[in-house]
Amino acid sequence: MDTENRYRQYETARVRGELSVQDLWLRYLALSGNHDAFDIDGYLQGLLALETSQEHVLAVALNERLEEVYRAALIPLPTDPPPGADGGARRAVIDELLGRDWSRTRPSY
Amino acid sequence: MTGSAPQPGDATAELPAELSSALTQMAGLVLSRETVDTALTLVTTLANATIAGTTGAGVTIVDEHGKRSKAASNELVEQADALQYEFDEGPCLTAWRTRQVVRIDDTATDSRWPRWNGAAAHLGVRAVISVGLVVDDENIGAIKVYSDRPADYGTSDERVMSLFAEQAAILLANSQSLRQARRLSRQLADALVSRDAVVRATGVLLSRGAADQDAALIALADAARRSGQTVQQLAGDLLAAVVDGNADSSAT
Repeated sequence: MDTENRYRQYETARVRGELSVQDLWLRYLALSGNHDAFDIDGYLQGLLALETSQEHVLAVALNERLEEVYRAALIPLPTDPPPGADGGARRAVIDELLGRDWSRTRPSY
Repeated sequence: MTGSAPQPGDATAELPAELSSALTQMAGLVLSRETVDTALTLVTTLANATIAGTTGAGVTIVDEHGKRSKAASNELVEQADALQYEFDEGPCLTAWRTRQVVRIDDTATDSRWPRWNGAAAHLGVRAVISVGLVVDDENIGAIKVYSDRPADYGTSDERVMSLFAEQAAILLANSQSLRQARRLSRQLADALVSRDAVVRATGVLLSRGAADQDAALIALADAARRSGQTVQQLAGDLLAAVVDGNADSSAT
Protein backbone atom coordinates (compact mmCIF):
# COMPACT_ATOMS: atom_id res chain seq x y z
CA MET A 1 0.00 0.00 0.00
CA ASP A 2 1.29 3.40 -0.97
CA THR A 3 1.98 5.14 2.35
CA GLU A 4 1.06 8.53 0.96
CA ASN A 5 -2.43 7.40 0.15
CA ARG A 6 -3.01 5.06 3.05
CA TYR A 7 -5.36 7.55 4.68
CA ARG A 8 -7.78 7.02 1.78
CA GLN A 9 -8.13 3.39 2.74
CA TYR A 10 -8.87 4.42 6.33
CA GLU A 11 -11.42 6.98 5.20
CA THR A 12 -13.09 4.43 2.94
CA ALA A 13 -13.31 1.99 5.86
CA ARG A 14 -14.82 4.71 8.06
CA VAL A 15 -17.50 5.47 5.50
CA ARG A 16 -18.19 1.78 4.91
CA GLY A 17 -18.45 1.28 8.67
CA GLU A 18 -20.93 4.19 8.82
CA LEU A 19 -19.01 5.88 11.64
CA SER A 20 -18.89 9.61 12.21
CA VAL A 21 -15.37 10.95 12.77
CA GLN A 22 -16.28 11.53 16.40
CA ASP A 23 -17.55 7.97 16.89
CA LEU A 24 -14.42 6.60 15.25
CA TRP A 25 -12.28 8.79 17.48
CA LEU A 26 -14.08 7.49 20.59
CA ARG A 27 -13.37 3.91 19.51
CA TYR A 28 -9.73 4.78 18.79
CA LEU A 29 -9.45 6.42 22.20
CA ALA A 30 -10.97 3.32 23.82
CA LEU A 31 -8.25 1.23 22.16
CA SER A 32 -5.47 3.39 23.67
CA GLY A 33 -5.13 5.93 20.84
CA ASN A 34 -3.50 9.21 21.88
CA HIS A 35 -4.54 11.82 19.32
CA ASP A 36 -7.54 14.11 19.55
CA ALA A 37 -10.53 14.06 17.22
CA PHE A 38 -9.19 16.94 15.09
CA ASP A 39 -5.96 15.05 14.40
CA ILE A 40 -7.93 12.00 13.35
CA ASP A 41 -10.12 14.11 11.11
CA GLY A 42 -7.02 15.71 9.60
CA TYR A 43 -5.41 12.31 9.03
CA LEU A 44 -8.50 10.96 7.27
CA GLN A 45 -8.43 13.93 4.95
CA GLY A 46 -4.77 13.48 4.18
CA LEU A 47 -3.76 16.72 5.90
CA LEU A 48 -1.48 15.31 8.55
CA ALA A 49 0.46 12.13 9.29
CA LEU A 50 0.12 9.77 12.22
CA GLU A 51 2.91 7.69 13.76
CA THR A 52 2.78 4.07 12.59
CA SER A 53 1.71 2.84 16.02
CA GLN A 54 -1.21 5.28 16.06
CA GLU A 55 -2.18 4.20 12.56
CA HIS A 56 -2.33 0.66 13.89
CA VAL A 57 -4.66 1.66 16.72
CA LEU A 58 -6.91 3.43 14.21
CA ALA A 59 -6.83 0.38 11.94
CA VAL A 60 -7.87 -1.89 14.82
CA ALA A 61 -10.77 0.47 15.60
CA LEU A 62 -11.91 0.43 11.98
CA ASN A 63 -11.47 -3.33 11.55
CA GLU A 64 -13.53 -3.99 14.66
CA ARG A 65 -16.28 -1.80 13.28
CA LEU A 66 -16.21 -3.49 9.86
CA GLU A 67 -16.37 -6.88 11.58
CA GLU A 68 -19.36 -5.67 13.59
CA VAL A 69 -21.19 -4.48 10.47
CA TYR A 70 -20.37 -7.74 8.67
CA ARG A 71 -21.56 -9.93 11.57
CA ALA A 72 -24.76 -7.90 11.95
CA ALA A 73 -25.59 -8.65 8.31
CA LEU A 74 -25.11 -12.42 8.62
CA ILE A 75 -28.26 -14.53 8.45
CA PRO A 76 -28.53 -16.83 11.48
CA LEU A 77 -28.74 -20.58 10.84
CA PRO A 78 -29.99 -23.26 13.26
CA THR A 79 -26.51 -24.79 13.34
CA ASP A 80 -24.97 -21.61 14.82
CA PRO A 81 -23.59 -22.15 18.32
CA PRO A 82 -25.45 -20.15 21.00
CA PRO A 83 -23.69 -16.93 22.02
CA GLY A 84 -20.96 -17.47 24.58
CA ALA A 85 -20.45 -21.13 23.60
CA ASP A 86 -16.94 -20.46 22.29
CA GLY A 87 -15.42 -20.21 25.78
CA GLY A 88 -12.83 -22.79 24.79
CA ALA A 89 -11.48 -20.68 21.95
CA ARG A 90 -11.35 -17.63 24.22
CA ARG A 91 -9.43 -19.50 26.89
CA ALA A 92 -7.05 -20.86 24.26
CA VAL A 93 -6.09 -17.42 22.88
CA ILE A 94 -5.51 -16.08 26.39
CA ASP A 95 -3.29 -19.05 27.27
CA GLU A 96 -1.45 -18.58 24.00
CA LEU A 97 -0.93 -14.84 24.65
CA LEU A 98 0.24 -15.32 28.22
CA GLY A 99 2.46 -18.28 27.37
CA ARG A 100 3.91 -16.82 24.17
CA ASP A 101 7.67 -16.71 23.70
CA TRP A 102 7.97 -13.11 22.51
CA SER A 103 11.62 -13.47 21.49
CA ARG A 104 10.46 -15.74 18.65
CA THR A 105 7.61 -13.62 17.37
CA ARG A 106 8.96 -11.01 15.04
CA PRO A 107 6.76 -8.09 14.13
CA SER A 108 5.23 -8.81 10.75
CA TYR A 109 4.71 -5.22 9.71
CA MET B 1 -32.70 38.25 6.16
CA THR B 2 -34.88 40.86 4.47
CA GLY B 3 -33.99 44.53 4.00
CA SER B 4 -36.69 45.60 6.44
CA ALA B 5 -35.17 43.61 9.29
CA PRO B 6 -34.33 45.83 12.25
CA GLN B 7 -30.72 46.49 13.24
CA PRO B 8 -29.51 44.81 16.41
CA GLY B 9 -29.43 48.08 18.30
CA ASP B 10 -33.00 49.16 17.72
CA ALA B 11 -34.65 45.73 17.70
CA THR B 12 -36.03 45.73 21.21
CA ALA B 13 -37.37 49.26 21.05
CA GLU B 14 -39.97 48.33 18.44
CA LEU B 15 -41.02 44.98 19.82
CA PRO B 16 -44.65 44.38 20.64
CA ALA B 17 -45.19 43.93 24.39
CA GLU B 18 -46.20 40.27 24.13
CA LEU B 19 -43.05 39.43 22.19
CA SER B 20 -40.71 41.10 24.69
CA SER B 21 -42.15 39.02 27.48
CA ALA B 22 -41.75 35.86 25.42
CA LEU B 23 -38.12 36.74 24.64
CA THR B 24 -37.41 37.41 28.32
CA GLN B 25 -38.77 33.99 29.26
CA MET B 26 -36.61 32.30 26.61
CA ALA B 27 -33.50 34.20 27.70
CA GLY B 28 -33.96 32.89 31.24
CA LEU B 29 -33.92 29.32 29.99
CA VAL B 30 -30.63 29.61 28.08
CA LEU B 31 -28.64 29.86 31.28
CA SER B 32 -30.28 27.05 33.16
CA ARG B 33 -29.79 23.33 32.73
CA GLU B 34 -32.94 22.52 30.83
CA THR B 35 -33.47 19.73 28.37
CA VAL B 36 -34.23 20.03 24.68
CA ASP B 37 -37.77 18.84 25.39
CA THR B 38 -38.36 21.58 27.97
CA ALA B 39 -37.05 24.18 25.53
CA LEU B 40 -39.24 22.85 22.73
CA THR B 41 -42.32 22.92 24.92
CA LEU B 42 -41.58 26.44 26.11
CA VAL B 43 -41.02 27.76 22.60
CA THR B 44 -44.23 26.13 21.39
CA THR B 45 -46.28 27.52 24.26
CA LEU B 46 -44.82 30.99 23.81
CA ALA B 47 -45.42 30.97 20.05
CA ASN B 48 -48.98 29.93 20.68
CA ALA B 49 -49.49 32.82 23.11
CA THR B 50 -47.48 35.44 21.22
CA ILE B 51 -49.13 35.38 17.79
CA ALA B 52 -52.71 36.63 18.14
CA GLY B 53 -55.48 34.38 16.82
CA THR B 54 -53.35 31.24 16.94
CA THR B 55 -55.14 27.98 17.61
CA GLY B 56 -52.07 25.78 17.58
CA ALA B 57 -48.29 26.03 17.39
CA GLY B 58 -45.52 23.55 16.75
CA VAL B 59 -41.72 23.34 16.56
CA THR B 60 -39.56 20.71 14.89
CA ILE B 61 -35.78 20.55 15.12
CA VAL B 62 -33.29 18.16 13.61
CA ASP B 63 -29.83 17.50 15.02
CA GLU B 64 -26.68 16.85 13.01
CA HIS B 65 -27.41 13.11 12.91
CA GLY B 66 -30.84 13.75 11.39
CA LYS B 67 -32.72 12.92 14.59
CA ARG B 68 -35.97 14.85 14.74
CA SER B 69 -37.39 16.31 17.97
CA LYS B 70 -40.70 18.11 18.04
CA ALA B 71 -43.32 19.67 20.22
CA ALA B 72 -46.88 20.64 19.39
CA SER B 73 -49.42 22.56 21.41
CA ASN B 74 -52.24 20.22 20.48
CA GLU B 75 -53.22 17.16 18.47
CA LEU B 76 -54.37 19.19 15.47
CA VAL B 77 -50.84 20.54 15.02
CA GLU B 78 -49.37 17.05 15.27
CA GLN B 79 -51.73 15.77 12.60
CA ALA B 80 -51.10 18.71 10.27
CA ASP B 81 -47.32 18.23 10.76
CA ALA B 82 -47.43 14.51 10.15
CA LEU B 83 -49.20 15.19 6.86
CA GLN B 84 -46.35 17.43 5.70
CA TYR B 85 -43.83 14.64 6.17
CA GLU B 86 -46.19 12.13 4.61
CA PHE B 87 -46.70 14.25 1.47
CA ASP B 88 -43.18 15.72 1.66
CA GLU B 89 -44.71 19.12 1.01
CA GLY B 90 -46.12 21.95 3.08
CA PRO B 91 -45.34 25.41 4.43
CA CYS B 92 -42.93 24.29 7.18
CA LEU B 93 -40.82 22.14 4.88
CA THR B 94 -40.62 25.09 2.47
CA ALA B 95 -39.77 27.53 5.29
CA TRP B 96 -37.10 25.10 6.42
CA ARG B 97 -35.58 24.62 3.00
CA THR B 98 -35.78 28.22 1.75
CA ARG B 99 -35.20 29.95 5.10
CA GLN B 100 -38.03 32.34 4.28
CA VAL B 101 -41.20 33.18 6.09
CA VAL B 102 -44.12 31.29 4.58
CA ARG B 103 -47.66 32.54 5.06
CA ILE B 104 -50.84 30.85 3.90
CA ASP B 105 -53.92 33.07 4.11
CA ASP B 106 -56.36 30.30 3.36
CA THR B 107 -55.53 26.66 2.88
CA ALA B 108 -58.85 26.25 1.04
CA THR B 109 -57.69 28.52 -1.80
CA ASP B 110 -53.87 28.43 -1.71
CA SER B 111 -52.44 26.46 -4.61
CA ARG B 112 -48.76 26.13 -3.64
CA TRP B 113 -49.01 22.85 -1.73
CA PRO B 114 -52.18 21.30 -3.16
CA ARG B 115 -52.11 17.98 -1.31
CA TRP B 116 -51.20 19.37 2.07
CA ASN B 117 -53.51 22.40 1.82
CA GLY B 118 -56.48 20.20 1.00
CA ALA B 119 -55.82 17.85 3.91
CA ALA B 120 -55.09 20.73 6.32
CA ALA B 121 -58.27 22.58 5.38
CA HIS B 122 -60.13 19.35 6.03
CA LEU B 123 -58.54 19.20 9.53
CA GLY B 124 -59.64 22.78 10.21
CA VAL B 125 -56.29 24.52 9.64
CA ARG B 126 -56.99 27.61 7.51
CA ALA B 127 -54.18 30.14 8.03
CA VAL B 128 -50.50 29.37 8.63
CA ILE B 129 -47.22 31.17 9.29
CA SER B 130 -44.04 29.13 9.29
CA VAL B 131 -40.45 30.29 9.76
CA GLY B 132 -37.22 28.33 9.48
CA LEU B 133 -34.96 28.17 12.53
CA VAL B 134 -31.44 29.18 11.55
CA VAL B 135 -28.39 29.43 13.81
CA ASP B 136 -24.89 30.20 12.57
CA ASP B 137 -26.08 29.75 9.00
CA GLU B 138 -27.35 26.27 9.78
CA ASN B 139 -30.97 25.18 9.41
CA ILE B 140 -31.97 23.50 12.63
CA GLY B 141 -35.72 23.29 12.09
CA ALA B 142 -38.93 25.23 11.66
CA ILE B 143 -41.61 26.77 13.79
CA LYS B 144 -45.24 27.30 12.79
CA VAL B 145 -48.52 28.68 14.04
CA TYR B 146 -51.92 27.64 12.74
CA SER B 147 -55.27 29.38 12.87
CA ASP B 148 -58.72 27.96 12.23
CA ARG B 149 -59.87 31.20 10.56
CA PRO B 150 -58.74 32.24 7.07
CA ALA B 151 -56.73 35.46 6.61
CA ASP B 152 -55.97 35.58 10.33
CA TYR B 153 -52.32 36.53 9.91
CA GLY B 154 -50.77 39.60 8.29
CA THR B 155 -47.33 41.04 7.58
CA SER B 156 -46.92 42.27 11.18
CA ASP B 157 -47.46 38.70 12.40
CA GLU B 158 -44.84 37.55 9.91
CA ARG B 159 -42.39 40.04 11.40
CA VAL B 160 -43.14 39.06 14.99
CA MET B 161 -42.73 35.39 14.06
CA SER B 162 -39.37 36.10 12.39
CA LEU B 163 -38.02 37.87 15.45
CA PHE B 164 -39.43 35.19 17.70
CA ALA B 165 -37.86 32.46 15.55
CA GLU B 166 -34.42 34.09 15.71
CA GLN B 167 -34.39 33.92 19.50
CA ALA B 168 -36.02 30.51 19.62
CA ALA B 169 -33.36 29.15 17.26
CA ILE B 170 -30.57 30.30 19.59
CA LEU B 171 -32.28 28.74 22.60
CA LEU B 172 -32.94 25.45 20.82
CA ALA B 173 -29.41 25.27 19.43
CA ASN B 174 -28.02 25.79 22.94
CA SER B 175 -30.21 23.04 24.35
CA GLN B 176 -29.05 20.74 21.55
CA SER B 177 -25.39 21.53 22.26
CA LEU B 178 -25.96 20.77 25.91
CA ARG B 179 -27.54 17.43 25.05
CA GLN B 180 -24.65 16.60 22.71
CA ALA B 181 -22.12 17.58 25.38
CA ARG B 182 -23.80 15.25 27.86
CA ARG B 183 -23.87 12.43 25.35
CA LEU B 184 -20.18 12.93 24.58
CA SER B 185 -19.25 12.95 28.24
CA ARG B 186 -21.05 9.62 28.74
CA GLN B 187 -19.31 8.15 25.68
CA LEU B 188 -15.94 9.38 26.93
CA ALA B 189 -16.50 7.71 30.28
CA ASP B 190 -17.25 4.42 28.47
CA ALA B 191 -14.21 4.85 26.23
CA LEU B 192 -11.98 5.36 29.26
CA VAL B 193 -13.20 2.15 30.90
CA SER B 194 -12.25 0.26 27.75
CA ARG B 195 -8.98 2.13 27.34
CA ASP B 196 -8.05 1.27 30.92
CA ALA B 197 -8.53 -2.46 30.27
CA VAL B 198 -6.68 -2.32 26.94
CA VAL B 199 -3.71 -0.41 28.38
CA ARG B 200 -3.40 -2.74 31.36
CA ALA B 201 -3.67 -5.85 29.17
CA THR B 202 -0.96 -4.56 26.81
CA GLY B 203 1.07 -3.80 29.95
CA VAL B 204 0.83 -7.45 30.96
CA LEU B 205 2.06 -8.50 27.50
CA LEU B 206 4.93 -5.98 27.72
CA SER B 207 6.03 -7.42 31.06
CA ARG B 208 6.07 -10.86 29.41
CA GLY B 209 8.39 -9.75 26.66
CA ALA B 210 6.35 -7.97 23.98
CA ALA B 211 8.67 -5.60 22.13
CA ASP B 212 6.59 -2.47 22.62
CA GLN B 213 3.07 -1.11 23.11
CA ASP B 214 2.42 -1.34 19.37
CA ALA B 215 3.39 -5.02 19.18
CA ALA B 216 1.33 -5.79 22.28
CA LEU B 217 -1.78 -4.12 20.85
CA ILE B 218 -1.43 -5.87 17.52
CA ALA B 219 -1.07 -9.24 19.27
CA LEU B 220 -4.19 -8.46 21.30
CA ALA B 221 -6.16 -7.39 18.21
CA ASP B 222 -5.08 -10.48 16.32
CA ALA B 223 -6.06 -12.81 19.18
CA ALA B 224 -9.39 -10.99 19.56
CA ARG B 225 -10.19 -11.49 15.91
CA ARG B 226 -9.26 -15.18 16.01
CA SER B 227 -11.57 -15.79 18.98
CA GLY B 228 -14.40 -13.60 17.67
CA GLN B 229 -14.34 -10.99 20.41
CA THR B 230 -13.58 -7.31 20.64
CA VAL B 231 -10.18 -6.17 21.88
CA GLN B 232 -11.91 -4.74 24.94
CA GLN B 233 -13.56 -8.08 25.82
CA LEU B 234 -10.33 -9.99 25.34
CA ALA B 235 -8.39 -7.46 27.42
CA GLY B 236 -10.91 -7.87 30.25
CA ASP B 237 -10.72 -11.69 30.06
CA LEU B 238 -6.94 -11.62 29.92
CA LEU B 239 -6.71 -9.44 33.02
CA ALA B 240 -9.15 -11.71 34.84
CA ALA B 241 -7.04 -14.75 33.85
CA VAL B 242 -3.89 -13.06 35.18
CA VAL B 243 -5.64 -12.21 38.47
CA ASP B 244 -6.90 -15.83 38.77
CA GLY B 245 -3.42 -17.15 38.03
CA ASN B 246 -1.90 -14.93 40.70
CA ALA B 247 -4.55 -16.01 43.22
CA ASP B 248 -3.80 -19.69 42.44
CA SER B 249 -0.06 -19.29 42.81
CA SER B 250 -0.34 -17.34 46.07
CA ALA B 251 -2.68 -20.02 47.47
CA THR B 252 -0.16 -22.83 46.90
